Amino acid sequence: MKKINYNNLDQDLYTFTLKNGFKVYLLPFQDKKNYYAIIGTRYGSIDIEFDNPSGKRIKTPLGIAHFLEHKIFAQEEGDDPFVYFAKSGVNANASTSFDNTRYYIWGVNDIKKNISYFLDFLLSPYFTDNNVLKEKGIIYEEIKMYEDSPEWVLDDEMRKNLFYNLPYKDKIAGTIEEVSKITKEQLYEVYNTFYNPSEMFLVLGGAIDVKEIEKLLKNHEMLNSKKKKPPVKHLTYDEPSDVKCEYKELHMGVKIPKIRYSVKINCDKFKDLTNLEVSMYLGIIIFALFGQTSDFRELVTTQSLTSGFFVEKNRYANFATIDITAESDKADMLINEIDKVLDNVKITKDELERLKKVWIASEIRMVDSVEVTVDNVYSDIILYGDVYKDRIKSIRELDIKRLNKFVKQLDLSNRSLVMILPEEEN
Amino acid sequence: MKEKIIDLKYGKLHIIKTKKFRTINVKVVLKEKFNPDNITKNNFLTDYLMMSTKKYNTKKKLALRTEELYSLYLGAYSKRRGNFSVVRFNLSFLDPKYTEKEMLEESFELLHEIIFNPNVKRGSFDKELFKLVAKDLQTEIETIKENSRIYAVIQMVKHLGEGKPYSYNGYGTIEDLEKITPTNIYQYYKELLNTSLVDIYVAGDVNDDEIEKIVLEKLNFKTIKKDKGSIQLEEEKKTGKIKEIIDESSFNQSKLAIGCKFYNLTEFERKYVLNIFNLILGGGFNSLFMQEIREKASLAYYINSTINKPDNIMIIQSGISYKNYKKTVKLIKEIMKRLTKELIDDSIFESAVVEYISVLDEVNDNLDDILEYNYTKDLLDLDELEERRKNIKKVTKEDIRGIAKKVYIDTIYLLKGGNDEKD
Repeated sequence: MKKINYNNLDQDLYTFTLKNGFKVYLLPFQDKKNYYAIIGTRYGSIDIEFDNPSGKRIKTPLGIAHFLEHKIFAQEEGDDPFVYFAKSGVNANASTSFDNTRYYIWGVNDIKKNISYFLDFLLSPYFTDNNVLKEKGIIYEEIKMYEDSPEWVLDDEMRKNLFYNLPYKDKIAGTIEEVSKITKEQLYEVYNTFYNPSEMFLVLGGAIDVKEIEKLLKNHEMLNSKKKKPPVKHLTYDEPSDVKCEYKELHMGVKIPKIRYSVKINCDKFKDLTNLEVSMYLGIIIFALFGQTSDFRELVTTQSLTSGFFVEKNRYANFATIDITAESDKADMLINEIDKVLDNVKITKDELERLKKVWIASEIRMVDSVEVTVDNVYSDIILYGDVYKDRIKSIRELDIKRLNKFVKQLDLSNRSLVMILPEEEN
Repeated sequence: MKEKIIDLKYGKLHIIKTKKFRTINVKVVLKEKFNPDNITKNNFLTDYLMMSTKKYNTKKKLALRTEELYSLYLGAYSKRRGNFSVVRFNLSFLDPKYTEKEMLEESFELLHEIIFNPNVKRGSFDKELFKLVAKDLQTEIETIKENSRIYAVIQMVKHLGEGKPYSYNGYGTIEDLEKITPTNIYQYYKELLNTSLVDIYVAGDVNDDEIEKIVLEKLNFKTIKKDKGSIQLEEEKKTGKIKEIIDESSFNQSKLAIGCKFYNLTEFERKYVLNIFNLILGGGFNSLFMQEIREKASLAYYINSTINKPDNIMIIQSGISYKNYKKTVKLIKEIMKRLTKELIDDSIFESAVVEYISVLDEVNDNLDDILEYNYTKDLLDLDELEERRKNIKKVTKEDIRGIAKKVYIDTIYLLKGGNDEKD
């Protein structure tokens, strides 16, 4: 077991790997009563096509990763997991993303028993024709719920605009039509490919005894009975740098138009930078250009060009995106201002230094919460392959010269726009 | 963790000392008797005060100041709870031992600026800024309709109790917004500051005397303490039959919002039994609603119930297909009826009690929760943690059956969606 000091903040992080490749990350907190555990696998909605363990190419319906996430809670006998955990006052939930699926539990009681059971139920699937059919009704309602949300629609439509081939273009939950095709055989196929300990890992933080958890995991019967498998190769796709569609508008029952404005950035040219560095530089850029203290924000606020303005960056395989979501009844003017900012990226040393201060403060703050810290470790593993333990140090070391070099290389010309407009009057 | 309460002339200062966190959190609570005419005003006011101050007279300048103070967090909210309307200011900043010694005072100074030094010119709020805030609030009010879940509840409560405090939409109305002017809202602001009952909560690794001194200096309210009556609404007796309303909409999914009322509760039922009852019925992941309506009948992705003690109401919400509307309502009624007749299974009952206790256990793990817990405890006159832990264990399965008889469905509201043919 390896011990690391996390972010130089009196917070330890322990890691080890079981023989079968199952990775473990433990964050023992002092002065906490609660615990929070995530078990993740690197399988998500983009893995609709893959090579199974026998090397056969398999194609599955859209939304199957999400379907599996629901259905893994089905048990052949005994309590269902929610009922089991509830006996200790522990809650459970799960979520599916593009490239990973996570299961999590949180509570205060019976940690050993619950962690042990957590693994048991994830490692013993039970799919039947009947329970698969039943789940479909629930998932159809979930899909319809998303279809009614302008934010979800903007997000889904934008990824469709951005990508030609990358499967990020499709919805995580799939469509009712695709989901209706899912069978128990397909579920077992994806399960057997992606839900083995070599592909999975645990992040556990809170009131935990590291030695005891280590012992529990090393002796866990079902977990250790699964043999190491060679890593699953995820398919790669050729993806052009430009956007597939530059503009799309649709109509929904909204009062004020909603816009999503995205920039598609091919990160291949930043080969000499790590993914984390690229992410940090982009973070600074969006903060400086569009953050609460930017000139842009001052302008659009005083001219009432938008309400509910939100900007973030995302990562999709070797592409990064800058994604702006806004509500505006003067969308043309707003878009014009965004264009201007993106055409002329300038960041001053003052802005950089201010942002560093803000970032460091938030890093210190985050370690006050078990949930936030565990989530951060989980995201690091998914995004960067391992825990980024010296984030604060890296933030301190950011300097304006390197940032300016990055800005020079940065191509922000691949832009796309989705607009949701009010229904047309009949 | 220890709470120290200091009586101030305008209210109480609650200092909660804990060494477990790297931040210091502050909550300033202004309590006033609820008046529906003030909903929009309070929303306007909190928005306006967070936009700028006399000294930091643009949003950008104010934001820059919060960044200088090591990314200090500031927020203001207004909400109704029972017979009260509550305006809250939240402040959170890094413990000065991670930044600079002066940050304690400077952070409180900014809170002072926000509350006591608004951007005012010649007896009225700044006209340009006023327009911006009004426009944003107008958008917020107009776009509620876009969120079918919230909109369904807003429509439902109108029918649940016309004229009752809970029947008013907490976002405010365009009509009320149009009545607000830069001058009359400034007058209202002064009134609010001078008449509200004030509670201040400070939590973190702090020194009592130092905090008391800073609070007296920086948060110098002029109010004189006076009784504002009870938060609790009067109970409503069951009358007539269930109201059923169906409205059309252009959404895909239909949204169900059911309003229930409870009456005749004993103090013990109100303080304890109700919580367990709700956890069992629809409050938890593992509730009867989730098990029977989602898992067994596949009718919904989510279905939950929430209780609102000061209003004596419970709201059930779900998203369903219109074709399953009758079936879902029937099941909900059956489950509620069953609880009045049969005793609940041991395991379901015990799980609910354990869940209640573990939520209490977790309160002290998060500084926001600690403040929220203390504030809610005082507002709703709840018992202390230890007492709650003890008393909840006195709840029995018979109590659950007993309280189930005191809860009845009053209004069933459906915001009808189309698009059923797809599945």
